[in-house]
Amino acid sequence: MGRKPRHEEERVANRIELLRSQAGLSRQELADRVGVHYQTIGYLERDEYSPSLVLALKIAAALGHPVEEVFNLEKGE
Amino acid sequence: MSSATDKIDDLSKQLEEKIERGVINWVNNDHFFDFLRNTPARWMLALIAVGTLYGYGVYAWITEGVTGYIYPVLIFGAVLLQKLSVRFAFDDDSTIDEYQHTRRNRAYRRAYKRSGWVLALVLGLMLVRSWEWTTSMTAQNMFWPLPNGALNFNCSIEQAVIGLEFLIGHFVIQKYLSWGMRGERN
Repeated sequence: MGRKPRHEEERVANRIELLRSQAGLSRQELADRVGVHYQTIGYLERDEYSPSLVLALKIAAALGHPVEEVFNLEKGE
Repeated sequence: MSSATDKIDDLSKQLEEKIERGVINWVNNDHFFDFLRNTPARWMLALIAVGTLYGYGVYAWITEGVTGYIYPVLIFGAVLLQKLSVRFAFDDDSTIDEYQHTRRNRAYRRAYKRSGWVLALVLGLMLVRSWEWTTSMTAQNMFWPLPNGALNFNCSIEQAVIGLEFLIGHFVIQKYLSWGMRGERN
């Protein structure tokens, strides 16, 4: 019952970039709304960072979508 | 009279904090400093930090007559560049977001582990040095001296100062090197 290899681990995927552009928001604008740096939005959009639950909820609220529409759990290979 | 002095003190503190916050906010958010934050810049800054800390450190150690004044100035310069590159993530909790928090904490963990390895290496070198001294004493005197815990490194005052500066610089710079080479992208 050891830890799964990294490529088999579940990861949090998101649709921030798509929903942000649909909402007509720049990264900076979204970042200002949720109180993070604009670079952090970039890391999230490129799936380089999984947000905390608080930040995920803030982003979902800022984009006007339920959190499960913005974020989902992706199975590893 | 004292309340007027207290008031002036409070005002000057507030002004100082305001100026400090203003400078940090400006440095953190102005795109002027972006050239220090991409991946090639991170590599370059790491090379500068390592070159300064270890390269100049070794040069100053082995070169007679090199005083310890330039070394801390160079280390300070390397640290300042690193601070700008990581947006003062190690200095002020209130200006960083959760991604920077996470990355900063990981950098601290890595730096702690790395420093442990360096400390082990230094202790190992001290043991080798001690063993060399003991065996040379044995060869000279045809007897095996009892270990007395004294080590003779034959270093001058300048070298001792440089060694101290190296240690301080080493522990200060580790966290910046451990921040990682992945830079920001726009």
